[in-house]
Amino acid sequence: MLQTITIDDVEFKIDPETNFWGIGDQKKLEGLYFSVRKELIEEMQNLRFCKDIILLYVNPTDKCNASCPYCYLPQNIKSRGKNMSYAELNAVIEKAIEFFESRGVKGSIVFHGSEPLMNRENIFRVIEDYHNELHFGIQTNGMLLAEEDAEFIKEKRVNIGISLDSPDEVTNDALRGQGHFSKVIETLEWLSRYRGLNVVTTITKHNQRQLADMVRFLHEREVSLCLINPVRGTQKGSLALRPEPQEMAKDFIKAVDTAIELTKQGRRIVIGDFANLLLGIIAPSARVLMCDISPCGAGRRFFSVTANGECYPCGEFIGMQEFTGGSIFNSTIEEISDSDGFRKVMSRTVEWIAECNICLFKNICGAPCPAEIYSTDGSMYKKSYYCDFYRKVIEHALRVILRGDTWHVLRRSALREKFSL
Amino acid sequence: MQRVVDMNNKNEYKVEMSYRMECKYRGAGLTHYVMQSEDSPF
Repeated sequence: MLQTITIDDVEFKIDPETNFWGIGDQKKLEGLYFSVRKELIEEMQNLRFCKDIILLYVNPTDKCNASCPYCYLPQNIKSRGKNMSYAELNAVIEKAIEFFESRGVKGSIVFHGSEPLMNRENIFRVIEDYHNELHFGIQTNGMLLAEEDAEFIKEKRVNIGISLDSPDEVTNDALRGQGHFSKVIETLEWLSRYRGLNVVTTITKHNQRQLADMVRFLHEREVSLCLINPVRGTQKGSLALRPEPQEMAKDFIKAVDTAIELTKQGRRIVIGDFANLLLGIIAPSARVLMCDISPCGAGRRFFSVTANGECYPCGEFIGMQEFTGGSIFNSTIEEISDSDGFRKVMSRTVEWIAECNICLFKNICGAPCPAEIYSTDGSMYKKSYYCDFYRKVIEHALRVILRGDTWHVLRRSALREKFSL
Repeated sequence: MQRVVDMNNKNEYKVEMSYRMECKYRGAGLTHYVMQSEDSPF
């Protein structure tokens, strides 16, 4: 059923079940809607309930050379100090390749933290050995990256996400450690214009006012993609740093509009999180990120492997034993993804959350993040702490569509039209 | 094409619009991690 929301005095008609949307003559919209409704229901069902692992996050080490106050990993995991040996890492990679090949896909491995470059030698060795069979990514704080490493990453076409929390050195280093800012600036020069680069900013109370400046700062350094993620309150430290959602929305929207204005001036910069919400409206099945859909991607499109081989639906669940899927060394990927722990997360849908079930945006935002809500409320079946943030940002995404700015956020060449009015 | 001007925001908006897109390339999307490539909608 089409429902109405007004944005800047313009009435949008939206069907929250399929994310069909439109503005204009009611009868024309209803005619179009009923002609495509069946196809859109099927599309949304596939998007939400397809279970097909295409990516593994692998933490090759428990060790970290930083102590960010909002780290999502429990202290008892980080303090184990386990490094995966080459043989262990190789076993994980070969198991992944066998699984992906059986499904006819080229899958992805992303080395994640703690700090993956604390096990640099082994991860570079497997990238060297298997870069033709898999897509590789590294999420790093960048502190241990040398210029020759940057060359290797570019040569092997490895995606790299580098953490940077502020354009202001004092603010950044207070969050990420002394010397981090200057090191990242150097690294960004080595990776300048590299298509596989993105910069990740975690929004906290300390940097939320700087998001628009952050976008300008990155644009000046020719970064074309950044992720600006709200901190997830899965640990005590991160919980204390969560911004007030409505205020955060204002700051985030300023950053979005800054990115659009800079892009219009000639060189693209995109905030991936916003682009993904916009895709949720105009091209749901083309979404890249799987946090803002329910069930989320945890356990059904990807899962996380810790340094001792234990598997969790997502990194945010690491340490929550009730969600573990067993060991990658003792189980098949099919067994892990079929485990009770994973099924708990994969069965979490917005329809079971009373406030979300009646929300127009339920299939655009998806009530993230289940791990965060479970940590704070003891149940995944509550609305997100960031509900008001998502509402404001999705309303702004509708405004961006109205303004005709969609293609200053998304790449039109990667999409094709299913229908239009 | 009909257009309307929102005086508050000084924006000129189309008043009739609805569209749906999908990914042009098989394999793009739904990765959770940003794997940039030519087929990425970002």
